Amino acid sequence: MTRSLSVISDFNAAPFAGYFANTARDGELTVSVAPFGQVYQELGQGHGKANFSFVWTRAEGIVASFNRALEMHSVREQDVLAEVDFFADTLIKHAGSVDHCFVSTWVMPPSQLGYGLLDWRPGLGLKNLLARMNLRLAERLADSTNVYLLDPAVWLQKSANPATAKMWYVAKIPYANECFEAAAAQVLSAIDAVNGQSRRLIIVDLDDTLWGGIVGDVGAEGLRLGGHDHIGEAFSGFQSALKALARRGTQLGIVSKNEESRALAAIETHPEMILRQSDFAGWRINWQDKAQNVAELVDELRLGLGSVVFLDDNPAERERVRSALPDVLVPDWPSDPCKYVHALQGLGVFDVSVISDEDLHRTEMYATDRERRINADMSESMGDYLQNLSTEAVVAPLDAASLPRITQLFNKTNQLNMSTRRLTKDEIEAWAGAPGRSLLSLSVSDRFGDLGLTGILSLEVRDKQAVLVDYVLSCRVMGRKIEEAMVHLAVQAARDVGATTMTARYIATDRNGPTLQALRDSKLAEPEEGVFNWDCAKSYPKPDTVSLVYPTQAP
Amino acid sequence: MGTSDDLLGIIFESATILNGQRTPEQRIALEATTVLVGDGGRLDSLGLVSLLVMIEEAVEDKMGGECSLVDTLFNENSEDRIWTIADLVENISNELEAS
Repeated sequence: MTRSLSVISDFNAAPFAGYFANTARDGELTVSVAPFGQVYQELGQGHGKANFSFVWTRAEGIVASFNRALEMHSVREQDVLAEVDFFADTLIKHAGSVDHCFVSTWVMPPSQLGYGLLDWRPGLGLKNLLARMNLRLAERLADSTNVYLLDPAVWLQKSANPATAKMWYVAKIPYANECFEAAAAQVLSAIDAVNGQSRRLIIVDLDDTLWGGIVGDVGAEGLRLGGHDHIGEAFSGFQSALKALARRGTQLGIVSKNEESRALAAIETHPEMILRQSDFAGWRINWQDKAQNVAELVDELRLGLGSVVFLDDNPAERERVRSALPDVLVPDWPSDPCKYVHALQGLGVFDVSVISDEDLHRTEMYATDRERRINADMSESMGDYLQNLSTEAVVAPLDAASLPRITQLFNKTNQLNMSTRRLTKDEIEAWAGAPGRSLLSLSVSDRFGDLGLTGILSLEVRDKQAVLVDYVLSCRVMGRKIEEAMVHLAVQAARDVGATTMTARYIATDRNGPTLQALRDSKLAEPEEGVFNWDCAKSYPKPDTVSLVYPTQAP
Repeated sequence: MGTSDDLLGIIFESATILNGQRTPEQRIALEATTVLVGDGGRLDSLGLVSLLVMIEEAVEDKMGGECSLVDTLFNENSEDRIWTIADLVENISNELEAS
């Protein structure tokens, strides 16, 4: 599906559009640039659904009173902020006409002297005033869930000379090419993020990637890590950067050619290790082919290869994984460990539009999942295993607290997703709020721990005909009869409002084959391929191995 | 003072940066005979100005001399003049020698 980005700016943004068009994947994203200097007029026009917009303005170009302040006129802060409010309100209205709107914050014009030493003084300094303007803009837009602020200071840092006066006077282009290139990369990354296409798993090598030296040769005590050694500190810094990403929801894994016991011992016992075994969702430490190990680990964690970044100091291993698994992002990697953090943070593929509790605790969930698998291996039968799990699903209607996670699940789930509708928070709320519709979420736990909000089903009833519109389940809880519990819930909800039949229509994608299998396994009738029915005169049995709990109200 | 080859290198570097913001059909070939202005030229006015400003800055950074290509172009009276990359090299050399 082709989507489009509309660029609205108070200056000539043609270089941005050029870089964006060349960076965007062929055919998936198109870009158009509105005539510059007509920001309010352009924001006032609808830009058609399914579009993104990027509003990049300079403070002096959009807030007239700030421009006067730059000319050292005396201006009242409240007048400046009133203009910011007006701009924000215009953006909020505009955001209703696009799926997602990205807005740049403001930076001081390059080379602007302001009040020099006094420029941060409240009530006088321009830097102080601009900071207040940015905060006001952020606060004003905080409730607009499809508006995201981007910081142009990051783009301007990419150039030693971010402003070219001649290009401004000749062509109304205020920034250097590197700035536009960086902005294009970040907007593309932001679009990936709101579409749920961020990278969610970083798989790292160990020797000379996570620490300096080869643990098999020098032992844990001989590794360069931390201490009074700039290389050791660089590896510590890299581990800290990885841990920071893990804290905000990105998972970590290891694929390394090593003796597993020796490597894990180093991870657990080295006094300067920042990452410990519990920080990793999984690992493959052996002498097998790394591409095979990456594929197996990703499969174990039930992620797609497109969610993965693979980091390895060895160019031959990188090339092997890159060629065998083209969906995995395998960046070129610097040979100097001092550059590792910068290289990691420069990838720009880890942004997400929502961070849920599930994201923050995912590593723990994977750890308990490992216990579950060990338990499954030891159980005599699958039936025993499922019985022993004591799975419980809390069923709840859509509410404000669950909406962010539900939005995330809608936009990230591929394998068990019957309709694969990609919806914003506002669209979900609007859809579920219409008459005849209901949307339920399932938060699953078992005796090993909490698996979080992992299931969604939605129903629409017209003339006693119920249609199961969404049937979404995180792959984390697939294969434990929750699929059938969800069908039970859907049929029950249909019966409760007097529906005579319930229909589910499977919409195939290249990744949701497991959904078709789950529907077929459910024993719903399939009168035509991909269309499933249930006669609501009879109830659909709830699987014995799943307990359903209704904390607020029954569906 | 740089040689013609140095100048050609600077122009090609600048053209490579410019090509990064242009579609494959709009990109200019890195050859001395490439036409920049006039019949057969692929650059629109914005592309041309961007390229010339980049070259001006690079010449100043790498050779320490100033040239004013944009001003020269805008002051050209003969609108049907054709500028190739080789012409640009000659123009810059002349400006640098005169300064």
